[in-house]
Amino acid sequence: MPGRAVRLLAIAEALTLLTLIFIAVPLKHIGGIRQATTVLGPVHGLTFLAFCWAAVRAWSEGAIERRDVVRLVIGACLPFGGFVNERWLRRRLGQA
Amino acid sequence: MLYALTKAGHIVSMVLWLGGMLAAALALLRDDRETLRLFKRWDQGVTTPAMFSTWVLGAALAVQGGWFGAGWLSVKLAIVVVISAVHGIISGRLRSSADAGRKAAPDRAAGITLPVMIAGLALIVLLVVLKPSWS
Repeated sequence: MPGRAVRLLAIAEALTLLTLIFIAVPLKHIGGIRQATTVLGPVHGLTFLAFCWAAVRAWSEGAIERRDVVRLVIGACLPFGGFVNERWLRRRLGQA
Repeated sequence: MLYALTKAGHIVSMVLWLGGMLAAALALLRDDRETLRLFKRWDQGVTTPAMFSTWVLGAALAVQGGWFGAGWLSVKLAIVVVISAVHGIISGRLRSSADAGRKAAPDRAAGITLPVMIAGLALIVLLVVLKPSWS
């Protein structure tokens, strides 16, 4: 199903970003546990990269427009933006 | 030992990823539906998992070696992002071309991706081998 991977990765990207911001960063700065960001930073980076890759593939496949890719990437940079992206993709792809 | 094994896995994954991409780009230049279907399956089963494996093992190497923050690695990561985007384009074209009801047409745009991949690969190998310092 076109766009299914990008929807799943939107959710995964949102979850890793929230975990990084609300758990790992406080653990580092308040708890002094640097390993939290050392581990979760690359995990979020890889998930973000995978989401961008899936968005480009969905565009190349013809499932979404080029401007949609820009919108999705900007949304993914914002906390909770991944959940908005997933709902928008579901409507855009007619998979409600 | 763990670092050496991670490095070996990273190199194997990278060869499978880039090799799969080059072959798929060449397949898109033809108009053979059966070939496109074969490469679509190969992309889903081998090339795409190899790309994810390359990313994960590369990040593990950077963490183990303490390379994050080094200039050469930042340039390398930017090239990896470009190559990953090219793979996204090739993978999407394969999926739409192999499944389309109409006769497939040679995808000349795929030919443009070949020099990008080769140049990216050459730059990455140079950066990793030389590890230039700009400080």
